[in-house]
Parts: sequence; structure tokens; C-alpha cells
Amino acid sequence: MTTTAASDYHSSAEALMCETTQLASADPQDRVAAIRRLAEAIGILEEQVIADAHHAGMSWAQIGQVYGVSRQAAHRRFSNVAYVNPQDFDRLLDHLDESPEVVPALQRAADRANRRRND
Amino acid sequence: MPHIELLDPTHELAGFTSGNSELDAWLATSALHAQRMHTARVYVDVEGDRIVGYFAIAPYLVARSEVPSSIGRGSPQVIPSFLLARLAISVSNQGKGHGGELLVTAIETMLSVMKTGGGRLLVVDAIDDAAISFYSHHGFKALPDNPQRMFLKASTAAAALGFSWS
Repeated sequence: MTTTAASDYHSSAEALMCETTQLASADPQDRVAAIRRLAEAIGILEEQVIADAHHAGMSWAQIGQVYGVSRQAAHRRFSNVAYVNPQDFDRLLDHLDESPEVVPALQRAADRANRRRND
Repeated sequence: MPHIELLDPTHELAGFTSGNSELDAWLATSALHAQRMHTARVYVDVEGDRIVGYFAIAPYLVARSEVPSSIGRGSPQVIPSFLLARLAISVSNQGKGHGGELLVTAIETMLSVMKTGGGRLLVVDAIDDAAISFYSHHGFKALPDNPQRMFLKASTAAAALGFSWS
């Protein structure tokens, strides 16, 4: 089983520390910018820590317990699964069985990418 | 002439600026970790020594939220998919069609994996309204109940790219 060394979080932790010092800035605009970047960095770190914890054997029920939510809610929030209600899910299945659609913008982008590769 | 490489520790990540601080911060602080842990694969578009774009992909499932009462009618409960978790272009390369070209490369990469290992949907998390417009322009549609989580049928993507999908 792969486990995460604490050192793997160093770069994220250093980025957080840097923003934390900016929170003490005299300029309110700097403080707002710092808290926004801090919130983003924590969100990224949270995903990383949860994914590692699950990989290391922590169950969704245990993770949910920490967050005060159900096993299903924890799974929904942090796993690589999108849940779709049954009616919409069935519509999606029907859509998958239909013929491919034509997407001109994607075709043009593919043509450009091919030309660039052949240049 | 940029070219695509799998991210490795020799790439200089700190200077990359897409104009979206969340996408920039993720590349600088988490991309290598995700790569090492195999929770995602990260590809960079490199021009000389400089990264001018990147994308990250990961396996994904779209699942029915409730199991139907009549289990056994043969209908699938999950759709194997691939997630384009992040895609960003450097500020200096924006507005030149490079975003669409990098999207094509990301789609080709996901289609190759799906052709070998299965999968029917490409899913993307559009980070803001501009991203929603970008993906919508390239054929993605919103998943029900979540306008920021968008999907494109693999068969539709393959047809647009001239990718052999049978």
C-alpha cells in the first residue's frame, strides 16, 4: 500500500504559511487577496489529504465521521464519481446509444492541432 | 514549437501563469504529488524551457444516484468515464486557439486509454463561466443539476477528431 510521507505536503504547507503572513498586511486589499489564495490552497490540500487517507486505508465512513456527514456524502464529495438522479441517468444512457453528434468547433480545433504537429 | 510531455520533476512549474490562481497553484504545489500517487496523469505543453499549458486527467464514474427497485432489468448503474480534471493555457498563449488544440490533445489522450480499457463519457469540471463557454463551444453539455460538470460522448469526440473508435 502506498503511503504519503509528510514531506509530500511541504510545498503546500509553505504556500499556506506565506499567505498567512500576508493576512497581517496593513492593506485590506492585500488581506482579501491573501485569504482568497489561502482558501484555494486549503481546498487543494484538502483534496490531496483525503485522497491519500483513503488510499492508505481510511474508509469513507471514517472520513465522513470526521466531517460529520454520512459515508455516502463523504464519498460523493471527495471521490471520482458524479451521481446523477435516475431519470437523468436513463436519459444519459439513451443519449449514449444515439449516433455521434457533429461538433464543428472541435473538428476545427483538431484540424489546427494536426496542422501544427505537421509544421 | 510547443510539444506535450508527461510532467516530471525536471519541469519548471513556478513561473506558469494562466490568469486563474487556482489552476496555477495546483500545478505549482500538487501536480507532481498527484502524478507520483497516480491519482491523475498530468501533461505539460512545453515551449523551450517554459510550460505554456497543461492538463490533468483521471478515471471517473458517472453513477445512478439510487439503485432502481427493479434490479436486474439489465440497465447499467455506472458509466465508465474519464475526467479532464484541469486544463490551463499560459496568459502569453491565450487567444490564439491554443486552448482548443490542447483540449484536442487531452481528448485524444483520454480516448486512447478508453479505447483500450473502456469508457463512454468525457467529463470536465469547468472552473468558471469562461470555462463553461469554452467547453460548451467544443460540444460539452452540462450534467443534470450541475452546470459546471460537463460531459461529451466519447463517440462524438472521436468522430470530431477522426479517431478510430470502433
